[in-house]
Amino acid sequence: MSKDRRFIFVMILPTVLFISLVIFLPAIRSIIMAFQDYNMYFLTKKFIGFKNFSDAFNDPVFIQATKNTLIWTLLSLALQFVLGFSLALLLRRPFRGRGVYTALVFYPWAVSGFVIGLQWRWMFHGSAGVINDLLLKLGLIQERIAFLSDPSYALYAAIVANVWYGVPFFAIMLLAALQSVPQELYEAAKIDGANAFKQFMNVTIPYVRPVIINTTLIRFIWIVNFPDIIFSMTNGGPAGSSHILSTLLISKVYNEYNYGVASAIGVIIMLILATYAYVYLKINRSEGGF
Amino acid sequence: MRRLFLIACLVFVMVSIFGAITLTMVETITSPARTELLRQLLDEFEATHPGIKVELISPPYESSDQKLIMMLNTKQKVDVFEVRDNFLAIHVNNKNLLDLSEFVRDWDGWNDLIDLAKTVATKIEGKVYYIPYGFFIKALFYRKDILEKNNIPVPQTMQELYEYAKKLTNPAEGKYGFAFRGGPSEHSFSEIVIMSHVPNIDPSPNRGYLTTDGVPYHDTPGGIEGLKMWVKLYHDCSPKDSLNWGWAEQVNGFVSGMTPFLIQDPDTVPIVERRLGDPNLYGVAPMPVGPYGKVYLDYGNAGWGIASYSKYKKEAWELIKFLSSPEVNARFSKFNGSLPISKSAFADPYYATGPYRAWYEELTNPDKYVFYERPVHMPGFPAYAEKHKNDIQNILLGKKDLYQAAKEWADFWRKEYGITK
Amino acid sequence: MRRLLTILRILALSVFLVCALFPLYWTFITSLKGATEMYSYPITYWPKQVTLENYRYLLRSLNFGRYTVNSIFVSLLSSLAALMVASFSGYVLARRRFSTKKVLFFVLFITQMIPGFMLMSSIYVMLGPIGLVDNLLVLAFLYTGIMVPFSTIMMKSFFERIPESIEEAALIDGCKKLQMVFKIVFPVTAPGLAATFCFAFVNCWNELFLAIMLLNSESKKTIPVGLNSFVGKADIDWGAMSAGVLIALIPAMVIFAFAQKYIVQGLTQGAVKE
Repeated sequence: MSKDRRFIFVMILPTVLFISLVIFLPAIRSIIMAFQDYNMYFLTKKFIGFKNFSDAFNDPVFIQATKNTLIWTLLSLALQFVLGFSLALLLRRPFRGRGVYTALVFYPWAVSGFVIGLQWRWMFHGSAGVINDLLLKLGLIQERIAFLSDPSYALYAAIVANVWYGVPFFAIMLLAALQSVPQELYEAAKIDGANAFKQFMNVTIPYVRPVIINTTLIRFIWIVNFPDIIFSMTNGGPAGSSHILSTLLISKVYNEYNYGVASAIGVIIMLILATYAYVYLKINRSEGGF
Repeated sequence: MRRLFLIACLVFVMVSIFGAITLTMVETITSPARTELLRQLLDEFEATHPGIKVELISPPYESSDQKLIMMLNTKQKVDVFEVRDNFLAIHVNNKNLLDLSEFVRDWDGWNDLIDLAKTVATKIEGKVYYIPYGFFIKALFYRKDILEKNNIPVPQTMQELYEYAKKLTNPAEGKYGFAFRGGPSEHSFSEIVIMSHVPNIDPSPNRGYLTTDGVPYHDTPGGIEGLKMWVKLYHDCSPKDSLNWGWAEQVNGFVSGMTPFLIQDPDTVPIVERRLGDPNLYGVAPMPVGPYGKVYLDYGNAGWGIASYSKYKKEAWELIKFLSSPEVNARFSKFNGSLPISKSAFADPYYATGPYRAWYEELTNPDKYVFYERPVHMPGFPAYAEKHKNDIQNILLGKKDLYQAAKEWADFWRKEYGITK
Repeated sequence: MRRLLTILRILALSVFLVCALFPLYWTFITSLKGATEMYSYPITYWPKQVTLENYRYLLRSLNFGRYTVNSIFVSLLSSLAALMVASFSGYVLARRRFSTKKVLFFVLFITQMIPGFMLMSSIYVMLGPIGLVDNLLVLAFLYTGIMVPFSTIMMKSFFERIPESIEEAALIDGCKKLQMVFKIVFPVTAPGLAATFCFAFVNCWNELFLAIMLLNSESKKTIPVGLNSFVGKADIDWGAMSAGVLIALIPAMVIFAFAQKYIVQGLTQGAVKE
């Protein structure tokens, strides 16, 4: 091996070792579990083919959870993006105290999902919650809403918390991208007579498009695999109406002690994400990467 | 060289004699306050048993039993652990519990146990797999001040409970009657009301949820009546969001006066007293009976067991004997709020008067308060509990037909029991 | 017109700030409320009776000091390790061309698709029998592994932002390869390194499920595990929980405040002058 190839190999080796041991090895074990009868009652671990998968599909909550996963992810993503982009645009031009401002307004990203779920659970509380209080005071509602006990609201309450959490990520990435647009391009456009709006559409957007594509891609995957907020906020309730696939996975372990079915759901999630990534990248013909 | 060898032997011997043995104890109904108490008791045990140290492991409650089972199944060092009634079968099936029958034969504390304690301890194959430390049986909490203000007596029957709660309900003023439980583990509440309407529940062991006719109770006429009553309690006497209420919300409702009737376990007593501040504001009554003069109660319980692969079985048994002794158990129960296990403890005025009198009534009137065995040890139970909760919530929301749900529950248990009728 | 836009801009920025900070504020006052005031009507926006009881309870009955030390140890170790490993592979991915590059990148990408919870039970099942549980070093190792993929991707982008000409110039000037790396490349990538480190640190600091599973003894628990103890069978002690959340939040917030500055700086192309 040439000296350079050896260099490359040595630099990559630690990464490969870590992810093989910590991620791929357990993942393979889990995939095997998806085909085993692995629950805490009997621990037989015998292979039962696709039974776990059919058990998962036949669970009435499964269909709801799949629908919810889509709603949860798409709605959170859309709102996070729009609000994040708006915030980035607002921050583009420097102003006094901007450093302090960004340190404060971006902090939600530093909070753990579990804590966010609890904080917002308290704020959305049916009787002692501050959100109900504010809505009442502003005259927007007549009586308190039991957000987390009402199937039509529960998931959306969780989405609100998720948006609060995710806006900083987009804002940071997009702000960096916006600031990277070379000044010369704007000047050239101005010379050509473009107004602010035209400049935005013809210079800014095309330039940040790759960043938008990549951040939304990775963010979609992260949101699907982000059970923490829903778990601590509603635990999938009421009546399983706020379950997404990844929280259903947890429920199968914690409430039904069935690792086999839980792993099957995990495999299903991975397949869905793999398909999504493939399609997304094909459409955008990007090579992935920031 | 020889001298070195002798010294080494001596050191080895001394270390074995005087070296401390460490027992590992795992609790699962973890709470910061209870952990503090346990640690205190364990320190006392260590003081009276030199050479034995006890390490207490307290996993966070939400996943504690899962954690324990994983530890046991991967043969981590565990000597003594908390055995909860609904996990007993799992532990025995996985062969992680030591049969204590031999130890118990030489223990005089066994005869001091109340009958219920002996029954649960020997539930599986007649072998003693654990020593219970306390019982959780439901009773009816009520706000004395609110009932007095509204001239309402303490309900004796389910029908009275419904009527009185309804009288107290005035949604416009934010007042309701009943602290409905619709959230996690709601079955341990709804089934009390529902089953009291069934005339012929079979309370024998291993016949949980079956009537004396050998069929599941859920879609019998009585079962349907009871279910309707539970639904009525929600619609006419409870706040709308109680659909998803858990323990915290129920207790908050009770303490704030919003819902003056509360069905709960005895460990709620110390908490309610602390939050209300004044013991005269509340009282506890035995569970109201159904239309047939009976009410069926399950006897939730937990205790201590020894891991089958423990290397220190004798020392572990010493620890369990210590914790199960009447004095220590009484101290533990008083703090925990659970009902103690020894007959001598019930002679204590603490349990014979005041709020605990209600449970004393329940324990000593078997014609009205019938203890039956909920089938928590059957593999299908966790799935049933989830389904029952979801179905009830959907019934209350008007999204599911009551009769359909009852039939599905009955079919579920027909399958579990292998009944073909 | 200009004036109107500015006012609108200030208004919008204020709304964002209030929305971001309100939950923090609410948690703060909840931690100062006593048990009786917690559920009282009407809701108070500032405690009628400020009490420090929640904080006292926290420091007294939980080993919060111990948990903090453990969290710092594990998070620091894993993020530094992840940073190092990620810098190596990120550098090579950014600078070199080799046949397996696309495959490797794809593999890193796939790791993000695996549901975390699914991994955890398998990890326990594999580590349990060999006694590698209840061990902070093992936990740090696992965290490192979990953080490496995305950290690599981040470092790759940061390295890509730096023109190769800088390295070439240094080499021409006679620096040896290693010298070049430390004297030239390093300072220039400092924002990127800081950003990746902070990102990894915050994630390790907040990790819950794996820590619960692997850590048993009181002496080994991390802060998230400690906070989870407040979710009891019966109740959530909102007062003590809020106090704990705040204490745990402050280091993460401070570190993240630095991170966000560097991330923006590091990702901004053209920030590095030739």
